[in-house]
Amino acid sequence: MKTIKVAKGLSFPVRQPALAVRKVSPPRRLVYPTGNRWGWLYPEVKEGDAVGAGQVIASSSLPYVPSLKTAISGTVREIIKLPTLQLREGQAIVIEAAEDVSSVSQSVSIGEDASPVEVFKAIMDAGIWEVDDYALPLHLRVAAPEVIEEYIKESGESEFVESLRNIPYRDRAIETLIVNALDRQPQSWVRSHIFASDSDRIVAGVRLLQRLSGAKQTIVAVPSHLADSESTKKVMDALKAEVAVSNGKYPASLEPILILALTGKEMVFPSKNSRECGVAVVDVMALEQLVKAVLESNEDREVTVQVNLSGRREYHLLKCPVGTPVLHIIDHLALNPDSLTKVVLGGDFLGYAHYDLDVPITGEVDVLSLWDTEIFHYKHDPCIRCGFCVRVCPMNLVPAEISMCCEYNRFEEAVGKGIYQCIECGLCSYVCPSHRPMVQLIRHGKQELERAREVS
Amino acid sequence: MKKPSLVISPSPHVHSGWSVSRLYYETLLALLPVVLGGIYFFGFGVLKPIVFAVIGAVGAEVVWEKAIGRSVTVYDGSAVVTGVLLGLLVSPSVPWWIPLLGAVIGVLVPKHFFGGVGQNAFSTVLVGWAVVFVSYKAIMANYPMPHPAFGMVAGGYVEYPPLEVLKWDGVDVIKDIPIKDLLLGNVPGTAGTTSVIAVFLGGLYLLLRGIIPWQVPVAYLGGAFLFQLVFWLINPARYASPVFHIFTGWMFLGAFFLATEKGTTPLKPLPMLLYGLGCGILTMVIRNWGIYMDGVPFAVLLMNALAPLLDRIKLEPRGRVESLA
Ligand code: SF4
Ligand code: SF4
Repeated sequence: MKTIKVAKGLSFPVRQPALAVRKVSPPRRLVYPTGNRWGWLYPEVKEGDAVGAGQVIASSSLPYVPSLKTAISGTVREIIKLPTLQLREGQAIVIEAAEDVSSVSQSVSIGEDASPVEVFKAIMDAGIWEVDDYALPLHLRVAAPEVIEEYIKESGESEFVESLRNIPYRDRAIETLIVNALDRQPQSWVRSHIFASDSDRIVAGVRLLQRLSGAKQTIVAVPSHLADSESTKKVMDALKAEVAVSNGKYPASLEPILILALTGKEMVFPSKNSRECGVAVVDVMALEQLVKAVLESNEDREVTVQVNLSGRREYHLLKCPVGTPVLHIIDHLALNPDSLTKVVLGGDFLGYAHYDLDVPITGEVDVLSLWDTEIFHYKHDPCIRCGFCVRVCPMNLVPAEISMCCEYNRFEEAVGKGIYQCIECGLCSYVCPSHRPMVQLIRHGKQELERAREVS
Repeated sequence: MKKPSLVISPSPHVHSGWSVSRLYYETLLALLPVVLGGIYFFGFGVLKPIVFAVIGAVGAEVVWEKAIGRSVTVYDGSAVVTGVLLGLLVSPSVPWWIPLLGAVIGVLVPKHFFGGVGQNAFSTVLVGWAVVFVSYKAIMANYPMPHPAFGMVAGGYVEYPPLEVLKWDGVDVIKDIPIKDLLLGNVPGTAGTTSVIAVFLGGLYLLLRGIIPWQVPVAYLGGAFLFQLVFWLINPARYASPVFHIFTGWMFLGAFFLATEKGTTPLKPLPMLLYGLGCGILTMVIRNWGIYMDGVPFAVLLMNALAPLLDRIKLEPRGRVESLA
């Protein structure tokens, strides 16, 4: 067994509470945002339409935005304004359950021995949204170049196929497939839970991806407390995979760090396209979704989400269908929404604070943090040059300098200092004694650079 | 369902709990053994310069910030740390206004004229100290003796600090000073520059808490030791042993508390090593061939000036940048 060594970063004591998974009472009203990290989707339904569970309700003309399916049968109540998880202004489709509508599965269900192109199509149709900030969705990230080529040949000309041709690094072979069972951030245990409890699905899912990618090497990254577990043994034997164990440092689980630690390859920025270096990472949450959707034709689209009542150190693991609004979960836990001070989707280090309780749990969310206590605030105090941030930055940057460049609008200078390589892990802000909002400044800098590129 | 009362802020949503004031209050805690060691060997008189220096530092900060209309930051503890450190470098027998003046200058000139805490390119303590030292040489060249109960008598083999003895009486005389006395601090000198053990205890605390980087003290002491080792091996009749030098005078205080002052050190690991190394070597150069008794303050001030230059050595970011069309 290998150990995953992360240079710098920060060790957090793992005190995993015993968590039992509970099912959330089925919501009557589901909310589906029509945008994700990869782009926008266009609604295929309008208000008043009847929709069946499994039906595609929004899709994109671009191949790198996975489509959206409803998990319940019912009617389209309304289309509302709602920010995406990443807080971009967008729309959402609201569906209300109705018993008299039957489900219409539109998934391509395949067998375990399906051909690579069939697997490719099935994953594409499944519409899998993922938690991590990948450059490409699952099927495009993992597929061998021949498979994409074959699909293009089969499909004839269209705008969709044309943009498929333009996927960057489409011709790179995938040599290594990394299965990520490391929890994304401190105080988050969803992935290790899924790995420990659902190893059959993980094995089945990895087999599909091995076929799709043609990767010669498969590495399974597991947290140290699961190194000797039954699941690890099972996965190792069934897949002939190498196992790599994390020593519990954050951010070992983030794609660029994991790839560097396991293969020694540095990713390219800002695209963070892992095809470039011939590696594909997939986490166990996505694998579970994948197997349910394409092998089991299971349309309930249930995801596991961890709910942290952060102020009180209380943690829950819940299962709910994709589209369950945060408000429903708050009600389920018998909390008073008016007493909440902060709602964060995506975890304490990497998540986004939301103000609208209609935002739903989707495949993009692993942790929902709810605070009903006093909130910590970052402020724009000057840097005291203590060097704490330099000591922890896993990308070997000098966050103090980069954030200062961004503060004074010297964005081009920030590029030279490595702003694109910042993976927004948040450690620099976490340790800064001046409480500087480093990640906010760096994100602002990246946005300004993006805008400058678009204009020119 | 919008809830305007919910707080919106960018990630991360948690914090380690470090703050500027906690940083300085913990530094004060680390200075406690030094102060106690001083009281033990020299009596409560050592508190006098400390008190006046703290009054000067805090007073100057409050008055300045009020005068230019800034919010008063004196509660962050940085001025108090400057005051205590400066007080530890001044003999109790100098007039009260000397530490006070030094602290006022140290807080105003390098720090507040350049924007406040952490914006000082030069050590506040050392600038304050250097100004009074250069201006009032005769008054400052004045060192207390440890309490007679510890076996030192006036007219004995040491009645001024060991480095001074070395300067005037040569290598042979200092051989008589037991290492134990150097370590414990049972020698004449100011409270901050005598007890190696007390300073090391405080320094160790800072290291373990992560308040100071290991690179600076390690390179400082290591650099000074190796540099002196070479000369001592070449000519032991002319140069004192590296062990003597490491355990004498400002060396430990310089390595752990003065050279590591926030704002004055480089931020990156390699530059920090070079910075420490430079401090160590310059200290020994001044001690061996300079006119001043101790080389630490001027070595550190010189390296303060070089720190931004050293920090230009690039730290290679992980990951590659692709050419953007
Ligand atoms: S600069 Fe970026 S990568 Fe480095 S610690 Fe800060 S957020 Fe993480
Ligand atoms: S941690 Fe904060 S105060 Fe310290 S160097 Fe980095 S940005 Fe400056």
